[in-house]
Amino acid sequence: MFAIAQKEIRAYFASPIAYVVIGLFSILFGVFYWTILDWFVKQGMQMAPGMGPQSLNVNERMIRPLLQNAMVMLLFVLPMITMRTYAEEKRSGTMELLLTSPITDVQILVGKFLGALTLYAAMLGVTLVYVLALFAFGTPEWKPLVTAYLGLLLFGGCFVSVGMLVSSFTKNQIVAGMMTFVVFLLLWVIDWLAGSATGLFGPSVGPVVEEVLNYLSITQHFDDFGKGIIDTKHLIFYVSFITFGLFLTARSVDSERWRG
Amino acid sequence: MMRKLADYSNWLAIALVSVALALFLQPWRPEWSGYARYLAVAGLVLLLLSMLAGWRDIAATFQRRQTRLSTITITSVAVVLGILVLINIIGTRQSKRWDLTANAVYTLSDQTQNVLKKLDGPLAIKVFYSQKEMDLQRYKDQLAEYEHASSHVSVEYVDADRQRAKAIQYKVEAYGTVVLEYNGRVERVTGSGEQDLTTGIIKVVTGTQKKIYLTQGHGEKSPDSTERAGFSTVKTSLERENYGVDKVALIEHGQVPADAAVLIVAGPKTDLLAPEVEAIRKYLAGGGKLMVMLDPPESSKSAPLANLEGLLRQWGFDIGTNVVVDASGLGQIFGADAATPVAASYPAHPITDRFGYMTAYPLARSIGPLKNGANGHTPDTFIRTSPRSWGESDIDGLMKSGEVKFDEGKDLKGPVSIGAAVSAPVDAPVQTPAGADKNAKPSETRVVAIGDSDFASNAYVSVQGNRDMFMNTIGWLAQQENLISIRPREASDRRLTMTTAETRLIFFLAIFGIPGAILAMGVYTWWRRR
Repeated sequence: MFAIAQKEIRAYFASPIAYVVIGLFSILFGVFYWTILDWFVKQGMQMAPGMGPQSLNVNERMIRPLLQNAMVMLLFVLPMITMRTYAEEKRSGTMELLLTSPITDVQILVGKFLGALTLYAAMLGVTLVYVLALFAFGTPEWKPLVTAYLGLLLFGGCFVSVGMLVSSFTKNQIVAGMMTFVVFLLLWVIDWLAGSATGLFGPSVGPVVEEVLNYLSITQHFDDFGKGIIDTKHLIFYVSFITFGLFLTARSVDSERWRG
Repeated sequence: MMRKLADYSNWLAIALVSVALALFLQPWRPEWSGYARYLAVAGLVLLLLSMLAGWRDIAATFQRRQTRLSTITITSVAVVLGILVLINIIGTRQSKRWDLTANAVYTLSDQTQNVLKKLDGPLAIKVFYSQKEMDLQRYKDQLAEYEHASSHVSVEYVDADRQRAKAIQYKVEAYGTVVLEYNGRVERVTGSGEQDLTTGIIKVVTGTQKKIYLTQGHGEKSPDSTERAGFSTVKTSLERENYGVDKVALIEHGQVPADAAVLIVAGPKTDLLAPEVEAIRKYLAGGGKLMVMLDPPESSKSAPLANLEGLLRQWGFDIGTNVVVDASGLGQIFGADAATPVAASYPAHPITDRFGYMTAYPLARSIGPLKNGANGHTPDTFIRTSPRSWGESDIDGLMKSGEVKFDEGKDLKGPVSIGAAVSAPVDAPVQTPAGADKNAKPSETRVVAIGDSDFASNAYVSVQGNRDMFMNTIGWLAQQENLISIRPREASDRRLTMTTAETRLIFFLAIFGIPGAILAMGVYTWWRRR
């Protein structure tokens, strides 16, 4: 399992793809980072301590919105990481090798998942360098940082598992990437539909549908992590989501054997 | 034959179920959705029958390897999904939560938790917001905790601009109004602070009506009169905020009613009798709240209201025998003359806290604190007229000719105080009513005196901020402003200080340095592999 993960990681980092993805991502992140940092520092100079409607807390007013912006970027970047997981194997014909090898499907699956997640974690690591630099100019709280990054890791885990599932459907990487993006986006905005649920399904079923749609909204569960709160219900949601995504991927890969 | 029949019934079943689904989902005729169930059941029965008829075929399909495997797959997916759904349902019902922020910003106080735990019915919270003009995040952060603390709480965000009808229905007048609905009662709160929200919840949950009494018998303004000088508009406003309004003749009653939250003496023409003043004095000693609105005498020969003024003097009020004249011309903006002084800015006081409207007082006298107070009470001025106004002592001259000027030494120099308030802890510890929250603030005696009663009459109450001034005063007197005191939990002030050189350094590192290094590593790997 770890051998597979290692192989995956090596594949990512031996080709320039990982560097290009992380490098481009960090340019975007850097622009967001600097814009909001500049704004925040200027606010601090204009507003005397204790004045104004709320205190200037760097976690609350800078890091939290910054990481929320980062999540939007992940929406675009993560499909680039996951699209190749199975699609590439299929295209290059190594899928048969994998299926007939003595390593079990689950080992391969988890290995690939860990590999992709490591690349994602490396991306988060780069953003963490930016955020940690703030400690040189002030005293941010570190506990909310830990919860926020835990949330980001779990959130990304969900996307990676969905991305792998989509990648297992096709041998075309571009198709896999596009489909993953659409699925991510759907999961992202699903709670927008929640408001109109009662109108669509009537007063008896509507509220239930609304609650379910709200619950499925993948970003909603990150909010508490971003604030500095750990809530078991969000942990359960993310872990179940990842589990189900990986389980479906396993079934999908398995069906490769007997489907015509 | 049998086969054919089963085939047809299959199609029929599918058609029935589809129609049922369509009926169920269509929004136009909700009454039809009742038929949907019958159609669906009929369809399913048909399907079952045809399956029974053709069971041999179906069994044969299942024996094929591929179908068997895909059935296994579908079943296993359904089972796993079911288990996960179950875990998540349990997870949302019983979750644990840890707030790791330094000041526990997102943790509700014990008082709020207690209030929420005692809810035994749905509490609907509606936030009326404006997309453009306010920061909704603070409301969301705060109310999410309320929602989490009690399953009875449900929060809804209403765009006050787009859903005008709803805003009107709930009598919402300002962005950021939070409407609390519980058990058919409604309470309105402005702001996202925990103190305001929880106070509002306590009010809407207990639902006890605070009674306001207006004294009668000496030519006071009547809450039932719809005349220009009447107080019926004020009565309506009070009732909208869940106050009960009633009249009381103290001489008949002998004492101030025990349930009086506030006693109002609104512009008496003749003096109160000694036993009446005695009744009020006793009421105040037990933590009573009094509001006196005292108009200036009609002429220099009018008899002074000695008893009433004596009572106010004991509480430290200085009552001037004058009419306040305002030469600033501010009153002309809404068609009033110089005898209608206008207040545009207010001294710091809880009554006028966050209050930004002009108020106008037709024919007012000066009422302020006595120089050194009395009996240890020194009222605080909360209404003050403009610097270009004065207290004209020549009342007869003013009334006859209307032409007056400021006489140094004789007249009171502006700005003139025309409204003042005093509060004092209750001397003798009164028995707290049973069931009172022990977190409730201790009761205080509170007295407000204003040198005018017309500002709240039907004719003038709608002028500028007059109504709000009156309601704020009543709110302060009734000690409705804070039923509990909660220390506001603000995130601590943690800011970043950077020199210009440092900002420049960070700029280059963030946008060029770090990404550049990573891309360079990429180029290096690519070059090495070639």
